[in-house]
Amino acid sequence: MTCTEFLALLDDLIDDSVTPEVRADLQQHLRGCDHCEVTLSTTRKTIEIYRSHEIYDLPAGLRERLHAAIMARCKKGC
Amino acid sequence: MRAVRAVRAALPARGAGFLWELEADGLAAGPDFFAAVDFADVAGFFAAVDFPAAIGFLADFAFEEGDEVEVAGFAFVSPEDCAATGVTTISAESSPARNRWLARKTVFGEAKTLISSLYAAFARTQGPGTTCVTAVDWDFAAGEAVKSCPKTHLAACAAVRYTRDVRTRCSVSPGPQDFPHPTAMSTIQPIAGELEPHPDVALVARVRGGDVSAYDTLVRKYDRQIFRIAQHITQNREDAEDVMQDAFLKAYEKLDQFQGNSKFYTWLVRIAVNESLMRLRKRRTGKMVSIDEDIETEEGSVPRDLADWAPDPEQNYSQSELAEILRKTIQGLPQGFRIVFVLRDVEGLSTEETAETLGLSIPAVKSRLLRARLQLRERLSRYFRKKKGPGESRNEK
Repeated sequence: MTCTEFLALLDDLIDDSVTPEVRADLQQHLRGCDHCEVTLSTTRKTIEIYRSHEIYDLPAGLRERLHAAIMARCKKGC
Repeated sequence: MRAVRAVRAALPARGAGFLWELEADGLAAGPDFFAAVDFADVAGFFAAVDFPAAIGFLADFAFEEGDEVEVAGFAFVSPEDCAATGVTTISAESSPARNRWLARKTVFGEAKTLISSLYAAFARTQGPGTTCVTAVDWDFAAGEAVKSCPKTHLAACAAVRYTRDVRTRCSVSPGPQDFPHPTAMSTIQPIAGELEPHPDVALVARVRGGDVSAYDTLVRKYDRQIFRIAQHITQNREDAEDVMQDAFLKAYEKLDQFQGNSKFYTWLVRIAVNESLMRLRKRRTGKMVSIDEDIETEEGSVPRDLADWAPDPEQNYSQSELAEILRKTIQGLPQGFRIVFVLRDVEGLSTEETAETLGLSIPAVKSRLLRARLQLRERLSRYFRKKKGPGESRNEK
């Protein structure tokens, strides 16, 4: 397996949607390729970090204000 | 109830030191384990002797969309597993105030990969309305307790706490159990005849029947996600506020047009994405705006920066610095990549749902997602890469 082929399957590997056979091939490639190992681990970390950090929070006060505005208009039939 | 029973049926017991079970009012497991942990507000606990099983447990548990779920994952391995994998100990904790995931230990490689998969699988399977945060204190406490427990093959645990009171949904009674031998996830049998309709279906029906309070529930379930998506697209807080209001109002007005063949949430997201793009268009005085904007760039197709990252690189920054880095980095992505990444990886829509929401083909979503991930990774590398040694700046290769 080449690095390009590995890259083409990177998302499937990350999303855990590869067959056991393909996974074995990918893992074999990883054992001999630091480049792809780093790409895989840091891409995973990228996803994890965006998933676990709230960069656009909705403060409680604003949330309540928006919520009240929405519901007031819904009750009036918009 | 179905999910709880399914989880329990799948619980493998490979070590006599473990008693895992789920009960109505809390959790019980190995007595030493839980003696050290305050589980007063823990509604669910899952443990597995291997990561795939832990993932399966999470995936199998039917949270409802909109549940705010806290997940704690931690993993311990037996001496023999350590020898085989080079792993010593892995545990994880996160802080409720900061919503951050801290991998606490030294280990990684396969174990870390697996625990990431656990989270990814959880987020993916629980549907877009579920807010999955890693924010607990007790996971580390539980982990410490596990360390002192007699154990043989415990490889991973995942604990889940959620805000909705689910006690009425759990009917498993406490008591010692004879669990079967390790069970492959594929052998878990769903309990027949209990395919429950999505809870939003009933809420939508109530709204259509004139019950405005049911819409209140739907708004509260999804407002944070809609606000986030709007902000990612418009990159402007005031616009995001307007989009959020307009999207919910439009959805209310058009509820009769909601066919029910997609989830209410994905339908709502589609409205919010369109409202966001319209808002951008307005801001740019009518210039056409689409999700295909700036898509031609080839940047990120092939990884160039091969530097590995420091372990837990986010710890080198304060929360505000980190948030700024993450904002700046994702804002630099082309719009068409950013939306796909946000819907798919941050908000947890499936590839199919993302495609449907954005009117893209599935191959197009996959292609954009890969490029988005790789571009983000490359851009974050400049902050997170390992320093090479004294005297070198953070940005030097």
